[in-house]
Amino acid sequence: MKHEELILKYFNKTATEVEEREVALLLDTDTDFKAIFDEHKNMQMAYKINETEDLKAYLNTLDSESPSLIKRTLSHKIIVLATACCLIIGAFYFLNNSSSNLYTDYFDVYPNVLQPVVRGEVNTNNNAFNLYENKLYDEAEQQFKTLLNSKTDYNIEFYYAMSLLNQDKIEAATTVLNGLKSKTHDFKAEVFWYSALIQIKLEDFEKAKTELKALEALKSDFKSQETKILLEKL
Amino acid sequence: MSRNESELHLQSRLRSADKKALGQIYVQHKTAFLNYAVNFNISKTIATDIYQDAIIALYQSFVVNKLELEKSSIKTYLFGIGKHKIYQYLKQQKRLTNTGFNEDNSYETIDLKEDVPTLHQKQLSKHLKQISESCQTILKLFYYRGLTIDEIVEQTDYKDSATVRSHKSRCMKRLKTLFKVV
Repeated sequence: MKHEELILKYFNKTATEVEEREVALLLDTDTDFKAIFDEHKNMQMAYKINETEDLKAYLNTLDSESPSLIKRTLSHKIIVLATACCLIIGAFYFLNNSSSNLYTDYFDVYPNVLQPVVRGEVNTNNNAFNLYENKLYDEAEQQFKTLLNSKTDYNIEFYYAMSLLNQDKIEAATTVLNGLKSKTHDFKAEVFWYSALIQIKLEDFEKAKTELKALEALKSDFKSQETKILLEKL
Repeated sequence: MSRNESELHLQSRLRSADKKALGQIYVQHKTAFLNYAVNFNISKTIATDIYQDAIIALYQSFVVNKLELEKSSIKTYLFGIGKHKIYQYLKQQKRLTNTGFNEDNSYETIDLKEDVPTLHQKQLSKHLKQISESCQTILKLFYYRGLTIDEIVEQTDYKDSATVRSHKSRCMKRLKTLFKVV
């Protein structure tokens, strides 16, 4: 147990000088320790190799799919300012808008940022996201459902919810999103944002505020400006 | 959130292996890096490749080594890694003397001293893809993310540390049998 902690600290680069010397000594004198150490080193490198492949694919997806995202980030401040101005000017109209308009104004289809779609590669994961990207939400919903029947993956579950929501299947989407609120995944902020929009559409503004406050509490950058403005207006 | 707080928050997200944080940084600094790389007379394709390698190395420093930047910003650190990678590339191409590398003082080069994978490690990486998803996850949390058994219990649905240990042990056995099969 002590050796395991020492090795973890060594590889996390949190070992003290004394602990580093202890590691060096044990590597020379204790064959069992050396075996565990080498195993850790090899496993870490093996995961680095696989992770590098995955990350490269992810970055290429960002390059191919998000030229607008780059522009958006570069002119982030300008856009935030412009958005704020537009929203202040339009505040009067905002208040008089129906909930349906408010929903339409704020709703946008969530992009595929999870799975790089590889042309020609046939697997259920790839197919589902390919359908999603091509706005074939009905078929994407079925594919995501098939995937989720074979494994638990909360990130995929989020896209399943988005496929439902994009078809206006509000009730089913709400059920899935509610289930995701207490789970660990990459789309926590998004879950609360879309839950809030659903409540706006259902004209339950108190619930919408609760969802938006939960989103704010996450301190995520996602839709932070829009969340503030919506909270003020509701 | 102030700029400093948001920078610290971003670092914390990277340490937690938040891929979306990586995507955010990638998009944010890409154009600036490609413009910077122009000074070394390398093509956009090579510069993009180097930028991707640099950003992956940055990410893995945060995830694996729990990097905490106190004096430098993420951007400065990223460009330092990128500059070192440009240097390596030019050296490999024997073009180092033809560039303004030595005159460039804008970023300090950062060498992360990355090991070259051995044949055994490459084979291991392939076998890792063949084990069950739950095995891949638990082993990744321990060996790649460097989480202790107790931290794994906290971050997953395993009921206690004994369960994690026994599952990890079964996964390692499974992995070792794959070596025997080959």
